[in-house]
Amino acid sequence: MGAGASATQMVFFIASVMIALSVVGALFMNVQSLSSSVVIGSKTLSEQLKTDITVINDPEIIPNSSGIYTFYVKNTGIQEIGTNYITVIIDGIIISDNDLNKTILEEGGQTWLTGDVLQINATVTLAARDHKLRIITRNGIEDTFLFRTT
Amino acid sequence: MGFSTSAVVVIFSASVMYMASMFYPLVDMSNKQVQEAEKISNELWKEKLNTKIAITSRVGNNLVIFNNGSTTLDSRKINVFIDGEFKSSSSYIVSPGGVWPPKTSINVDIIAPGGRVKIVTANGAAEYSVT
Repeated sequence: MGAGASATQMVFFIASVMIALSVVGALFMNVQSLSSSVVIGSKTLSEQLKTDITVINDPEIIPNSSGIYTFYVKNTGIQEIGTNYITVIIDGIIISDNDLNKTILEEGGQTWLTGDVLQINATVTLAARDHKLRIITRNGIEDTFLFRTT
Repeated sequence: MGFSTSAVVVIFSASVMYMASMFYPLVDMSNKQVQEAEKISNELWKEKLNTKIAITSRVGNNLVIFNNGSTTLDSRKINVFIDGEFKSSSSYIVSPGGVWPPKTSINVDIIAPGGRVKIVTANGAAEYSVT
């Protein structure tokens, strides 16, 4: 009886410890995943809050040379912006990257710093009327600009 | 049985304390990061809303621009458009360069002035002059 009871208690003890460790392991994985998400989410949100862009063209006269329209966008936030994933939408149509040429004026490079002006040459056909331009950064910050072509 | 329960309680308690000690500093750091970014964002908006410039005179190549807002600007960071074309900083001379306090003016001498001039400040506020 004594030896049997001890063995039973030992089995219960080992089983309960193993179950507890499994539960703790699963919980720990979830907490780690949650922690990573919180860190990534807050980093993204803080980057978005620090990002701001402004289209600074003169809406009356948009430079146009043989169907290439030139837009100037200024980084008015305090966050560096990569120029690779800038989306340009004119009148609701996304302009493909092949039809865009992006240059950071006076500074050059690929990193668009605070105060720098990004020149975007867009090869598009626009009728002589009012148009709506939307420029969207990689992290979803955008500026809308209304202009007229003649 | 009682010993097993105690062991499980100890394992759970120690784990919860360990996970809390891992999780809390990260959440706290993230929260501070977002709060700091919100503060910066509000500051940027405040500066933008309090920025206003006015072209008070245009004679020949010379423009006088008045800081009519309550934000101190940097005159070296203005951009100039002439007839829709962006002009590089070598195309105009700004004096005085640097700090541009509220209720003061700067002179912008444009090398090749056109009919329609747009001046843009560092935070995107703009003013036009048309002749």
